[in-house]
Amino acid sequence: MLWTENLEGIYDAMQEKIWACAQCYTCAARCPFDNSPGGLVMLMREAAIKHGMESAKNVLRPFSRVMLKLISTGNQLSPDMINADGFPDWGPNISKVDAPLKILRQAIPIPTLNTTATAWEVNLTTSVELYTIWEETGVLDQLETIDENLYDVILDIMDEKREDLEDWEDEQKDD
Amino acid sequence: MSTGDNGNGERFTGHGSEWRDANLSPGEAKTATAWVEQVINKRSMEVNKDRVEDVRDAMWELEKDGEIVVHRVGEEHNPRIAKTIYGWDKKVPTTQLWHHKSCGQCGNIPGYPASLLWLMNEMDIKYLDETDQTSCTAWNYHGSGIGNIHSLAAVFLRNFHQAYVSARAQGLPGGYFYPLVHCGTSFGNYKEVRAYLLHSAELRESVKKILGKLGRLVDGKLLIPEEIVHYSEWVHMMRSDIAARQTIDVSNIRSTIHPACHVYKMVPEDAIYDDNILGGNRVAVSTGIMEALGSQVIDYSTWYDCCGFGFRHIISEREFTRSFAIDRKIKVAVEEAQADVMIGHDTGCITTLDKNQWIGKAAGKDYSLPVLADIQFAALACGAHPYKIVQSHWHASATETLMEKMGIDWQAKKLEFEVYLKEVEAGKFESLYDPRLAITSGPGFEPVKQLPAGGE
Ligand code: SF4
Repeated sequence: MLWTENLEGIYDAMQEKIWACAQCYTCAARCPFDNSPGGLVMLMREAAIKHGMESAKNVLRPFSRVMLKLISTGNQLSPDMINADGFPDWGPNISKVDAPLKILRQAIPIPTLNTTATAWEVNLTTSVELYTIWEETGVLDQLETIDENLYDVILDIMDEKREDLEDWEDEQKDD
Repeated sequence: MSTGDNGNGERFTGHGSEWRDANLSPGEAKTATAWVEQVINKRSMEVNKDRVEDVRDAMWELEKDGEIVVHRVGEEHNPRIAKTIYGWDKKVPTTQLWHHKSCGQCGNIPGYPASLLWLMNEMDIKYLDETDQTSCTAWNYHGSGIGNIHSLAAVFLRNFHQAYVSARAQGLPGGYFYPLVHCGTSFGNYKEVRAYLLHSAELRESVKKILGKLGRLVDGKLLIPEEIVHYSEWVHMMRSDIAARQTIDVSNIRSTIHPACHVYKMVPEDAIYDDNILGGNRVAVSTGIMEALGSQVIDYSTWYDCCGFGFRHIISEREFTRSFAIDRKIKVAVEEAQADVMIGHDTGCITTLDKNQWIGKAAGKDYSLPVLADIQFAALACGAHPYKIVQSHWHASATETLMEKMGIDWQAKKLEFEVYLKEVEAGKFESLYDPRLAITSGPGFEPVKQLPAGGE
């Protein structure tokens, strides 16, 4: 590849350009040879994380709450994350009907959505299965490289949930 | 994705300090990109390419070799056949559906899934909405780069295995429910991951160990879905049935469609096209239902552009997101197409296009274009309550002007909803289905028999 002769160019691109990509895959759709620059960007982002590049850490700092939610619950976004403080540019009212978030969520006629801390209610066994996936696929290692504090917080949550599940399983045996 | 000057001499931001202007005059820029516009306006953009294979051929081979089990779209799922971009058949199941939810929809625009379930109840469609599912985790992957093909594949296989076994909680056989994917990014990601799995023995071997550990193999093998189906494809195949339930005339509504990048640009060979829908030059979903309902679908020059969501950008490069959403999409739809509404079929797009208009007013860009998902518009046209079901209060864009044009007295409906909220506060709330069905194992599970149509 042409780029192997321009390592500095690759390094520069990995500082910032790769993070500008919107992952829209327009490039892949337009390319007459079926190349996918957007796909390549993803590989470069993974490489930037693997090597703990400072630029990756900086770029991902505002993303930490999202990662906390996703890795600990399996949901990336929760209703309580969307508020006027977090998203002042979305206007003064997150809901055009004024009522406490809990009541508004209970007024959604889908029982799994009557939640505020996750987008939908996630079964405890499901979250624990997801933790195994994170561990086995090296995702937790990626996280540790990028944000050690977040990694520690997430490990605590994982331990807690695993204990909750074990307690429940023990209760079933006792019954 | 197009970038650069938005026509007002302003620049999109968020590219980083190393960004260099090409310094082309508007005329030169037009010449430089005209070929792209000519090509992308035609479906030939995709069909003229080489090296395209139907990944399902590899799937059937692997099943024959005893390597995988395929979760089939069976007769019991009442499939309808759609044509994809190359004229291949795609089997779209229309009943016994397992709702694979979207975190952005459920957290942000809950009227999106509620409208879908409401219409399914109206049409006696059997379904299951349950708690044993995670998101596809691909929003995070595309935004942050945290995750990898192994984690994405394991999450995909775990969720789809759960869809396969979920009906056992009701005493029904494996494979009874077929997954229906709500999110456009999940849809694109799962298709991409399925292709990697079918092509890479190494990937299959590594995730098989994980799935085995989770007890998520079928007869000791990986379970792969025959089709990966987006909810908009279900809507598309059911469009005549939906239109038959219509109670509100929408022939005066000028609608614009925003097709989602991850629905039709990612794994494009699987996207549905129809020669009778915009000449077969645009992905057929959403346009199909809007035409079936009788609205006027108006084409516009930036139909092909992304919404500006950007996965990471909506969280931390918001100026990029809102500039793109307003200047490349909303403004064009209003000024060129004189649209009454912009219709989408994906979580991130609807959020981006809907929520980012408010700030535009501060910059003198008050376009006030209502933004809804196709299924929300369809539910409104079929008489769904705009607040209880369509949950339009979560939309920042001017959905009220659309409702007025449709002849819906939104103020009266809003009052009804406010009264209903008092009942909710008193612990009396309505549900589209028996909530006990939502837990199929683990804490809180109690066996319940399947109810007709999944609803009460
Ligand atoms: S590199 Fe490709 S995927 Fe990324 S923003 Fe550009 S066109 Fe979109």
